[in-house]
Amino acid sequence: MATKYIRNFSIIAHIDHGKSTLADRLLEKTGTVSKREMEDQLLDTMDLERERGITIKAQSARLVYDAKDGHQYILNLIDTPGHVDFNYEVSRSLAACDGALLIVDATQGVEAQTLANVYLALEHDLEIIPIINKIDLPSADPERVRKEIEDVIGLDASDAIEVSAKTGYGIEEVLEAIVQRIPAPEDAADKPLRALIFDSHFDSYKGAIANIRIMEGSLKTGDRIRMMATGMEFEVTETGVFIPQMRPTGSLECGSVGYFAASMKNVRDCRVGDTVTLAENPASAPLPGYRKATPMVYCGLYPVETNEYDNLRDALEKLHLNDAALLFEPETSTALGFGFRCGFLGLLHMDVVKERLEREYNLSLITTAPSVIYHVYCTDGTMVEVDNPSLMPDMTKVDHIEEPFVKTTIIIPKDMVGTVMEISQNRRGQYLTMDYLDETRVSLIYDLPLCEILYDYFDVLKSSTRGYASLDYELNGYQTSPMVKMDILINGEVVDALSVIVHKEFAARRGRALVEKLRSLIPRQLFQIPIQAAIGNKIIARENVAALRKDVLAKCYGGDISRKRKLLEKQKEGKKRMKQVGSVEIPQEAFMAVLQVDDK
Amino acid sequence: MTGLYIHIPFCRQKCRYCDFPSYGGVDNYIAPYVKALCREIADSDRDHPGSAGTALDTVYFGGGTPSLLSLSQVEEILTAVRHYFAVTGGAEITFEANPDSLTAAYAKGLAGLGINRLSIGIQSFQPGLLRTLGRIHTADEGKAAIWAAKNAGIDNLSADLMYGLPGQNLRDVDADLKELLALPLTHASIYSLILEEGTPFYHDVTTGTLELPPDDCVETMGQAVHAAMEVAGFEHYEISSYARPGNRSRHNTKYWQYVPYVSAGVTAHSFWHNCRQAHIANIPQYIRLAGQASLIGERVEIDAKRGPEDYCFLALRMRDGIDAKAFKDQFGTTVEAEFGTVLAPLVTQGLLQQTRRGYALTEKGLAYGNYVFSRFIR
Repeated sequence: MATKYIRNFSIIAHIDHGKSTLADRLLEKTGTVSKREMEDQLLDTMDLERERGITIKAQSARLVYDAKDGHQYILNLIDTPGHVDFNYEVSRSLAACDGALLIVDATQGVEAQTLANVYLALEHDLEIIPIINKIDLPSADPERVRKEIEDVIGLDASDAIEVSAKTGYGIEEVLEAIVQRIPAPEDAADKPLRALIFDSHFDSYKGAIANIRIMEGSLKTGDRIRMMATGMEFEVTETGVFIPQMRPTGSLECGSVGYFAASMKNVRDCRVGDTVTLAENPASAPLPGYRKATPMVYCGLYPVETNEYDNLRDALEKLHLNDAALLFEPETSTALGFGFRCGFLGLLHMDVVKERLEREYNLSLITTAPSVIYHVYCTDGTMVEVDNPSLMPDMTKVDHIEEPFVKTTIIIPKDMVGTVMEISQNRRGQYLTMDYLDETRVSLIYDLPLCEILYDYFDVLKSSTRGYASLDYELNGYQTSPMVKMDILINGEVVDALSVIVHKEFAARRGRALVEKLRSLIPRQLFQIPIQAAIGNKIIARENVAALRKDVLAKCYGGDISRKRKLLEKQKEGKKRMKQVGSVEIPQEAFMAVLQVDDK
Repeated sequence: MTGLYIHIPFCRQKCRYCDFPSYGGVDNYIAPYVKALCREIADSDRDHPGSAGTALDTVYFGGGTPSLLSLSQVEEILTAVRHYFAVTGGAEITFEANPDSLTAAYAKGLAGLGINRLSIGIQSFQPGLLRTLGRIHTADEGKAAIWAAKNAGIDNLSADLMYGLPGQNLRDVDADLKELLALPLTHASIYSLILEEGTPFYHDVTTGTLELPPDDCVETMGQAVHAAMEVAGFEHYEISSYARPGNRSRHNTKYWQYVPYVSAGVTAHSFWHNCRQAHIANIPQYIRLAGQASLIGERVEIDAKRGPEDYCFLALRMRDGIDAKAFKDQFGTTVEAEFGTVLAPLVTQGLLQQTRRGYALTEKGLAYGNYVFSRFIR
């Protein structure tokens, strides 16, 4: 099919603004998927995605649409992940498109992720079609939202389409707009192949599958291809399109979106953002924008039962097949034994991986508190990257430490500005700018240490704004900060897995709060257990877990076993997942406690 | 062999610490309740399938205050029991009695009906403490009741005694033990006061009207009890039970050894066909339904996970502990296979010891029984 009958687009939206529902309606309306096959939110295939209502892996679908002009068009919908952790994946998906549908909730208006995604789309010169969704709701205010799109984003919203993805209202109009307003791909069929990998997944029969957009040239089964970033070469064993299941077609023409398989062993062989070309007739330069996915957040994952170590490794390897951004390497903790230090794109990515390990692989895990990567400059002039607090060099050998900062956009109702400023300032935020989005809403931009966002910024922000705040952030370089390593001693011994890196001025307060929290989490044992926080050799906080009380002796009345048992169950409650550290049993939650202390 | 528990939920006056199902001031229900009990016993197959005609080697009248029943009412119940079950010769038939209702004549009557073991609610011999507890008998009545039973020819006699009471000191405990050991007892249940929510005691303690002795003092009292009972030749065979050799409570031992028992009466518990059951609590409803419909309010089937757990925490209440062979016979797997990771650390901590027959609490383990038991709940 000629490129002029192809349209490549994606849908961008803030979480919950109805992206998946709209995608479902488009699939249904074009007959790509029949009503009978229609599951709710068809494009989110992982259980976890459906439960959390978010998209983690991008999916694609090829829609065949008979437009009013009498021609048949191929509309390639490239779904994008909807979370700040997966920003890079979003940008690659957008790079594969020529246009985007921008969904804004008619009851909520523009939110932080709307903005972030729109800016990404504009960077890629995409034609943006504003869509105002949920107009069936009584509280919908399309006129206000229209004005907001114009004022805040600077897009002409006069022809924004009003739809209700839920009821199907306005869907036809959306399809027509895609055909009429989004440009057709450039026809560059005669150039050497350049195809952009915008996503990948692992198939146990075919190996890694690359989702691609052919920017120039064409690709067919049997071609020998080369990955331009890694230089690896493969023979293409299958090419095809998503309907939305994979359907082999034998070849992919210029401008089209589809997939190929090439007996690639894992998804790192076809990295998102890389350019595919032909080995025999290679393009001179790759497409712009490739970078390796770099984790921002690290934590230790340990099996509760030491003999599950091999299972954990196997499970991580399997997840890794499908998740190029997940890093892991073996590490040893004196407290927790053998485990892995894992790197994630962000907190959500970390939660998702953890949950999948536990759910899909039936593992019982202990997670240490997440950490960012510190740049530690030593007095001998060397720099080490520290992603595990227990590996911090001896402070006497440290010249200074740099920590990552993120540029954080927070959108809130204007009467909450004071609260949010206070929260941000208390967490070492540096104020950058403030803009009024309309009469009622404000966009605040702060430069915040990433570790504070990991710590509790998110939760505090959400609770103190009653959920009204929306947040987005991007890495904004490293800055020198007076950070110190704080150790936790339990029963006189340093528990390496509990060490944290904190700002010097917060250390005493956070130390006190942390030992207090640990005291409440560590169950009484047969002896008194001191819990101390220390910086170097200096103890800055101390609490004791009192020894277990001896029992009072009770009579067992009339054979009522259940009552006795209920008492024991109560006593046992919350004591699952205990890790024996020295002579003390520490529950799983203790290792995450550093995130839950309220020291403000 | 099977045991039968019969619950008598009536008391002359409810004690201030008691949260057990017993009621004062509802004497008008006693007569219809006894009839209802007999109907349930005649209909025992309904809630305990296959139990009719089963051989019983223990029968236990608990309360409440069974001694509030008239002798003819006791006889009526026992006649039903003997008619619908097969009470073995030499069966242990226990009857709980309170001193105020256990007269010489009553004791003789019970003996005549075949009751051969009495459990008498003494609780204390100190007049002040008896008042605090809300008991309606005097110290002398307590002693007299035991002698009355003895003189009536009931030799197997147990007394309940409490410590850790408000205002009690170590000297009071010593005095109580001295009084207790001067009586012709074969058995004693001695346990510390447990504050139960919703009782007048709980209210008084939480509002500061009453003050309980400090924990370490209660601990010392417990040690004094162990020492005195041991010296007097009693075997401390279960957490709160002491017996002269050969006089363990055969009925209560069933609870701890995972042996089935049936029951009758409101709130009564049973363990039958691998189900733990509890009767309904409402007396008028019980009277209405007995013999016509099921009287079970709660039924839990014991699965392969819970069974071994129950077995262990119950068995460990007894100083003999877990019998490895009995465990294997019961569950088809060894106790080590089921609880290896639980047993080892408890042994290391000095709370459990390996014995010739299996595992048992150590002296130290006895003080931390609930901690040890809770380890077995997975």
